[in-house]
Amino acid sequence: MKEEYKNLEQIDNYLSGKLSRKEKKTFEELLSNDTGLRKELEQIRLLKNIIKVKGREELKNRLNNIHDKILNKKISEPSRKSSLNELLDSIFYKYFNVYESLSVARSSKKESIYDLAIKAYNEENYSKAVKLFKKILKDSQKNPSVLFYCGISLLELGKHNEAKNKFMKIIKLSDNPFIEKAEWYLGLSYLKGYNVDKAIKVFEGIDKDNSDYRTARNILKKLKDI
Amino acid sequence: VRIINDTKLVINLKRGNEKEVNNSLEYLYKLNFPVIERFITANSGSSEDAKDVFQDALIAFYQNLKHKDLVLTCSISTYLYSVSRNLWLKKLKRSKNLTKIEDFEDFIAVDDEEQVSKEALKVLESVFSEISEKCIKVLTYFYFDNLSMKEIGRLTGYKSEQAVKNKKYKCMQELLRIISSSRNELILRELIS
Repeated sequence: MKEEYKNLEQIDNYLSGKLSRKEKKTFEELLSNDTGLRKELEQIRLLKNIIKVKGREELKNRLNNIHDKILNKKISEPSRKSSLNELLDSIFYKYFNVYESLSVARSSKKESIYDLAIKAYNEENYSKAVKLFKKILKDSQKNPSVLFYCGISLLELGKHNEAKNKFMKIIKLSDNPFIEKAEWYLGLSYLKGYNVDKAIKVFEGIDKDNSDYRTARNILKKLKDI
Repeated sequence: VRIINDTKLVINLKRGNEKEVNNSLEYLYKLNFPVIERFITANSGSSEDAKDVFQDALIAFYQNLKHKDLVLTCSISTYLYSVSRNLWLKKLKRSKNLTKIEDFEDFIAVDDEEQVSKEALKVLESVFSEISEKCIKVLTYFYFDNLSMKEIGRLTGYKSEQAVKNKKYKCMQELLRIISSSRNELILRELIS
């Protein structure tokens, strides 16, 4: 892993012209002798270009919002909303972190769907994880851990409504180890759906003995400032 | 309208959080768009043309600021005006509508923005819908906004630079996986190069 990180960093610096002349020369020599590295360079170049186009599109969206806000005063309500939403998004991203990875107990040789789902979750392949978690939920709707990790994966993918339902189910099940965490993530799901009032309500309901109590207080302060 | 000076705007655009960046963009938009709209509509363009051109100019300004250590030798307004003007004159020239524009000069050069087709954008959207929003943030902060690992950490809630590096690495792996499993890899490769 470390070696790969180093390659990535060097390629990033190379592509953005951040290497000194000497470093650049050394790196190019390395490249000419290493087909693997060349391939990696091309992959990263492709990713970088794609991400830049994406970034440009997002910026363009922001400018369109600004344009509407300034020029069409009549429909300024939704645009005012959109800049508020951006603010809520930034709070969300600051606080939303994926719950720590799980370890998969490898007792049997054959991997169960659950193992595969957790594996996908750990690899941050959330769309795959969601598919697998949902498969499991078809048979056992009340499995709190599956509901929980499914919810987080959904939230990662921006599907806050579906995520919200999963966390609510966990809380309704009562008496399971995921309730406290589910409350926290339920609040975040509301936040992601820009439902500030509900989010505030959920965060306010988080108890003092919940490990997320202090973070909940911090986020509340920010939400009430808006 | 409160007057914000150029230095402050540059600082906010370069290092600000989302809100500060947004406010600066809005300020520049309010201040400069009407002037450019007047120029373009007086030169056989529509308001819609003015919007496109001005936004391209603003994006070019933003990009140059973030990536090229742009040193301004004039006010931001002058800069945006000249870039918009040149972009528009180039467009006119291309569509051969050029009739009576005398003084066409490139006094601020801007890269001709790569035109990405609607098709490619669609493929792109579908690719990005499969990765987490946090990944999109981290990756665009790094490659589009050219922010340091430290700054990205500050904006996304990661405690250490190493944590951001790890996240970025994972996100890239994930993106690569989605792209290569997508039937549309070739479209992306051809159109975004």
